[in-house]
Amino acid sequence: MTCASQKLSMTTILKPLLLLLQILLLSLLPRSSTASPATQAEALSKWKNSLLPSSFLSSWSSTNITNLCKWNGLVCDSTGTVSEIIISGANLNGTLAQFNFTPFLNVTRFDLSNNLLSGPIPSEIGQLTKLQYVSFYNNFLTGTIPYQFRNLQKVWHLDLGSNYLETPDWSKFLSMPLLTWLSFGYNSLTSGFPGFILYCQNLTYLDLAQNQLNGTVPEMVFTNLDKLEYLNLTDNLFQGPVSPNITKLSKLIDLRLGRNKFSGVIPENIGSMSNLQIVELYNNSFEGKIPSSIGQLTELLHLDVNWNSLNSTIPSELGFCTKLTYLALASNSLTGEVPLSLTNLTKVTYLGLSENNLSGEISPYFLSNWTELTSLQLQNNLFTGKIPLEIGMLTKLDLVFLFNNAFTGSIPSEVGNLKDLTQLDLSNNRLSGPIPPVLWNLTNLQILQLFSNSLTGTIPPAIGNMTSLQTIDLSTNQLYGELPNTISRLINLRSISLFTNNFWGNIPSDFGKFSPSLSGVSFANNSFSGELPPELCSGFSLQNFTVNSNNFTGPLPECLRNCLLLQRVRFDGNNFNGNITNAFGIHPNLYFISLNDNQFIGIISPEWAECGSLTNLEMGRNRISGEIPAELGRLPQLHSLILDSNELSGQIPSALGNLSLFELNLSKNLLTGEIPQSLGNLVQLEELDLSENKLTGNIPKELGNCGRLLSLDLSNNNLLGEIPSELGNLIALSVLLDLSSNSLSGTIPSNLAKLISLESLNISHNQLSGEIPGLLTSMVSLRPSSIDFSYNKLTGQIPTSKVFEEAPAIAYIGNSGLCGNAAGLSTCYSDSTKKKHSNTVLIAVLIPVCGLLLLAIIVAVLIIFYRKAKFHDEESRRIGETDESLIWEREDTSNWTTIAGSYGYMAPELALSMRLTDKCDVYSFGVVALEVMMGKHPREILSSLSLKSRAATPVSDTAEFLLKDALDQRLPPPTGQTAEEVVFVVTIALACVRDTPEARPTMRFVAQELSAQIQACLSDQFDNITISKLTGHQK
Amino acid sequence: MRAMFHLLAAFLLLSTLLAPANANLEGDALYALRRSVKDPNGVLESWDPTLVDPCTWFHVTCDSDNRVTRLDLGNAKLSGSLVPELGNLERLQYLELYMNNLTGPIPKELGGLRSLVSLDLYHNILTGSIPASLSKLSNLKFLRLNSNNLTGKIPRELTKLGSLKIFDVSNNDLCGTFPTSGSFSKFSEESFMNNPRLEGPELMGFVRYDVGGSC
Repeated sequence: MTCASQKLSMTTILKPLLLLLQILLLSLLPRSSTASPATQAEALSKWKNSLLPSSFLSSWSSTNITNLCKWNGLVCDSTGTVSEIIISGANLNGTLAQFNFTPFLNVTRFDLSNNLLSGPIPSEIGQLTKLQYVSFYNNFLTGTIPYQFRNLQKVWHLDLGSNYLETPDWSKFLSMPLLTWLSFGYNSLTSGFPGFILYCQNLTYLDLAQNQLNGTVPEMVFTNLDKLEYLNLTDNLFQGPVSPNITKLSKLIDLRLGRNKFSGVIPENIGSMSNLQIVELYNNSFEGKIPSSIGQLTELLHLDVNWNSLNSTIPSELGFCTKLTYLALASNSLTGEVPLSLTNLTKVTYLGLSENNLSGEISPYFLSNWTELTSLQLQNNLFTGKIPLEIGMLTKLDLVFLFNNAFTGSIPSEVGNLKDLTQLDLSNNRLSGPIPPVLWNLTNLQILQLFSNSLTGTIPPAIGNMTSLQTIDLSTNQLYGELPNTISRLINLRSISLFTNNFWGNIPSDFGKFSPSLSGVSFANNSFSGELPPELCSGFSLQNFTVNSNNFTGPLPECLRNCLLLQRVRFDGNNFNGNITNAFGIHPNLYFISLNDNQFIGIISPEWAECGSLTNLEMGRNRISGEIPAELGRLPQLHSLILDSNELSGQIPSALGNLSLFELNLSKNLLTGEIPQSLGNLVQLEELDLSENKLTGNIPKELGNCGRLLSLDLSNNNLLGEIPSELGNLIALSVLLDLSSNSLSGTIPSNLAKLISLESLNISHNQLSGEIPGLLTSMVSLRPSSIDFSYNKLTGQIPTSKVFEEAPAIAYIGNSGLCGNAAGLSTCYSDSTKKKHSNTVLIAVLIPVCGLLLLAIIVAVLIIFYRKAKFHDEESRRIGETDESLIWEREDTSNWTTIAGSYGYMAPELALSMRLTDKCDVYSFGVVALEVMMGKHPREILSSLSLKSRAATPVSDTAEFLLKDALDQRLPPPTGQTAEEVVFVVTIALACVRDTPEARPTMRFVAQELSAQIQACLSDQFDNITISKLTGHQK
Repeated sequence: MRAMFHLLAAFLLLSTLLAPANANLEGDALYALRRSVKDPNGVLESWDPTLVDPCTWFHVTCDSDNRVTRLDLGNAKLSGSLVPELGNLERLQYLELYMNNLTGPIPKELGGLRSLVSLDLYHNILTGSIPASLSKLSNLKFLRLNSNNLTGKIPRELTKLGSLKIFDVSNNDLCGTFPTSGSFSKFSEESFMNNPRLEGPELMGFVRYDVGGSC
């Protein structure tokens, strides 16, 4: 028990002691270990027979017992019995179940590594107590690791790596004092750190990599295992910070902690572990600095801290690690410039600085010193300046990634020296000038990406030499000219992307013929012309094929129909004129196809319904005829169906309502019949355009369910009936609502007022009547230039808001009955054309008026006071105008001064005697209120009331006005609650115009009454109420 | 045997690192949003960053120059946070992200959306304050941030938004007073209600509200 530490409690000491006793007793038993060669041979033969035949074991034969020691893979001792079993890499296929361990108790070496053995490791392995070397490395062994390994106290090398072994109860394990080499790597262990290892103090090599071990790494790893030279915990779930005590492992040469969940900082004093050669900390959550002490690790060969959150600069001390061959600092948040001291790293072969925030220029000195580099990865940083021409000195480079930086200048022609280069990616920089001709001589290049720069020039015929080329992406540059015929010779080509350049001319007619692997072709956004090469898709491998926005003509290649792998296809914006009826087949992966803007003819095949992945089926603006196949309703993913501007006829299939469309455009066709109600099921629809067809019938109210609609255009059809008020529920509508040029009738639903996001509204050229609802003023997004009510039968006042009043005359033209304050319209005149309000609205107006009059009174009193009662008619008339927000229609006032001040708006006592009281204004308010209710000045009523009050006897004919006759005759007679409100307001108004000031209520009282909306209970029929009855009302 | 699988895995990892970078700024900006949010309904499935531009992506609308003008992702069950890159969409007019489960702050970079007409972020779980940079959105007509968890003051700079027609910050946790001048003179208290710590309309001169939460 040499490794039992004194810190152990009694119980934990006792247990191993008992076990040790057991082992001793076992060894005292009479040994059958004097097994004869015959029993050993018999045991081995039996096992061999349980395995699949292996040529390695051909010498194993029970008829060959005498030569046991010459059997392949066996070593005998002096007694002629087997002492070592070494069967490695022999394709042994089977299990250990039939292996009889008993005859081999003296075996010291048991090596079955690199075979195909499966099943568990038998617990009988514990009988082989003489074992010193055990390896089951790289088999398919399963089950838990048997705890009987604890009996093998003489083992110095134990390798169970690269199997599928599972976690045992580690507490049953014992320290193995002689163990120096231990690997459980690449198994399925899921526990915390195995405790027994902490007591194996002679370990120099420990590999637990590629399991799912978790928790923190015990401090004792660092304090007890101080002979460790190799520690590999890669690819586990270990977490927490790495203890600064790690530096106690002073003999450590190789430290691998990558792909765990370690956090915190890299121990500051890591530089004291002066033997370190390999340090792997990648894929963790280390943060903070790269410690500058790392410069003390002068033996360091390999440093990998990729994929952490380090956010310092690169310490210049790193330049002291002059033996470094592998330096990986990628995918951190490193900032600043690359320190010039790194020019000392003359042995570096791999350099990865990508995915950081590094800046500054790449010094030529770096490149002239890093001549051993095979990989230069600086992508995704903020590097600037030119690519140094010294890059041509790095002739061992296999891979150069400089993409996504801000490099300027031209590509140095010295790149042509890099003959071994297989991948060159300079995309997304600010490179300009031509592609150096020597670049096309890099015949080993497989991937060439130069997209998104400002490169100019042409593609020369020399490209045909690049027969290794698999991917070439030159898109988004300013390249021009015709493609050389030699481009067809790229037999390994898989993907060519030339979009958004200025290429012109034909595609070489045999392009594709010699490139059977071609799966990606993009020539989009150029000026190519002519027909597509017929053999372009002859390898049937095409997946992405985009040639949109060119001048291609002719038919589509016939091979397209057989390209079953198609995913994304764009022919839009060309002059193709073939027949599409049978151009396509069944393409289960095709999700996007656009044929828009060509001159394709033919019909839409029902076979499209078999392309079950389709999200976009776009054939707009062609000359496609026939009907829309109802089968399209089966496409579960279809989101965009664009068939506009063709010659499609027949009805809109109601099956389209089954789709989950975002956009449906069938406009500018010859479609007939009604709009299917089922379109109301398209609740995801954002754009619906059915305009310019021959659709008939009503607008289905179900369209009001398409609550995500942004744009709805049903214009230029033969639609009838009313505008469904449900369209007002489309509150997302913002781009357009166009129902123009149909035969819609009825009134404009005021529910449209809910479309507050709508910018453009066109309902012109219909038979709509009535007035434009005043509530439409709530449509605050409308623009004056984008409303159109013209050519209908609309009447009345236009809504009074800026949008409606600033609209041009053409917005209202062709409606004889519209009036209002807008260009081309006549003003709405009071008596004949005065704007119509319902009584309800009038009452709502009166309440604030009342309050405002209180303010007006004060102003008026002041005016009159200052003028020392210098009376003038017009002055008092302005009382109503003082409030700028109210624009009352003026009457012709020419005659009312002749009525000696008894009428108008002025209290009679003021007119007669200049006796100024606040009750004068109450009178004025009463007059205004009556005027509002009657739609004209209440002079008859006022005069009759005045006479009546002065006459000794009541009863004057004129006083017996019926209320209903006195009200504004242009409005329908009020009913219900409105009638009650009317009676109430008239009653109050009449009280205000009582002859004697004292009998009038105060303005405060009036305001309270009106705002409290105390209802006068109607005892009589409304039609029978007389004015005189209401004058009796008193409070 | 198993070692070979390991090699294969390493190769696969390498090939993902080699995925082409995209030069399209607007596509990148939108793709940053896609990476930042969870999308259980797959509404962003069509957002392929390797395409020429984002104009064929669903819920994205472009103008004739292939510049993004609309982003319509209301009620799309997105969670996660907004990204500052959205501020690069120079011609964006409509940013409709209402009724999702978006968290985190409103990036101040949205103030760079100089064409923006409508910013609808209502009914999310956004936190932090309303960035004053939104006052640079001179074309903004709709600013609806209601029903989030926004805190802090309503920036007075927003009164400079001359085109603003609808403003709603109700149902948040804003504090201080709300502006009443400029474009704010036309908004009723409904625009501000249910902010328990919001004291009321701003007071002129040296008057202060006696009650109200700290801000």
